[in-house]
Amino acid sequence: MMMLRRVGIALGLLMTVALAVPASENTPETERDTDPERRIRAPERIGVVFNTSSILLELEEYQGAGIGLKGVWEHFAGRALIGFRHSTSNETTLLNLGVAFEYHLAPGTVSPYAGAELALRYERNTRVSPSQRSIATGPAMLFGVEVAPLDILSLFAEYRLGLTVSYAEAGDDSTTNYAFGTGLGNQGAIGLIVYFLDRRER
Amino acid sequence: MRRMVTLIAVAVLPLILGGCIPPFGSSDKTGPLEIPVQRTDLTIGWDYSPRRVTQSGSTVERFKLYYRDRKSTDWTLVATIRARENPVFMISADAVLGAHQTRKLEFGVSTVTAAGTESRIHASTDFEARPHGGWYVHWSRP
Repeated sequence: MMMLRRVGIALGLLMTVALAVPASENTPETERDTDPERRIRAPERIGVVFNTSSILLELEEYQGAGIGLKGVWEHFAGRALIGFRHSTSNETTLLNLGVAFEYHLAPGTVSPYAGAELALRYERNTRVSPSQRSIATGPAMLFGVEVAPLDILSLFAEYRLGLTVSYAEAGDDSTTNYAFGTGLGNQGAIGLIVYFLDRRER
Repeated sequence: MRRMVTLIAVAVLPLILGGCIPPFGSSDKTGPLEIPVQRTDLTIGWDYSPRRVTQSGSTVERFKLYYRDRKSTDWTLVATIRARENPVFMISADAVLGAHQTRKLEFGVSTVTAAGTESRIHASTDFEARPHGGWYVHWSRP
């Protein structure tokens, strides 16, 4: 148990370092303080992310969990996942949140990248007796390739290696579980990105 | 502001992710969640979205629903169910309890494609099940 906690802390630190890197890249402290326009660098490109279940490109929710948005800054890219559903028919509430950062080693038509991801999934079901609620969270490292045949469209495939911590309770019983491996159920991901905003100079 | 967010992220996130601060509640117990049931029947459901593209050999046609005693390795088939959006199936206590008054049971689902290939069984005790971390039923006759 302690070992898993240490692994979690180490991965968490790695994740937060990865989060901090894009903000500081090419923006020294002195420049940021003196030039207000450079405090926040707007992404060069913004797109929406979909997952696909097969090469037939049947579009699904990003990671099967919600809306995916992606911003690109030269070598860096950030992704956000937001998903929410409350259903009165089965009295279930679902919340999904996630952030991921990518560092593109050689940006271009075929762009390999490495990065980090942090995801949170919360679920509550009050229809069943006893009612249940659970939360799963954890950081992961990403390794993938983005292929961009068009400026407005790209495909990506990536592997994940991460730790997931889950807490679940039903009635008086509760458990905490850990899993470490290549993904949460899904050994990898294939997705499609449609860019709708491109500020790059041509 | 950004420094504060970074500080919180560096200081707090690793503690949460490392399990030192449970997201809510606290439990030293690991393993799947025990769901107590005292009913004559139980409805089990699972996520499934049929493909929208034309039929092929890999199209899922049926599900097979299984049960087994907790920590047992042998599955017993309960029913074969035609594939549809988010299927559910009602199981009666008589069908799985037999002569027992109480039993701890895991459930599992597999898919069968049009080509007849059956997938591995996704068990209720798998980490990816919902609630997260997996579950089993402690079923007692009412």
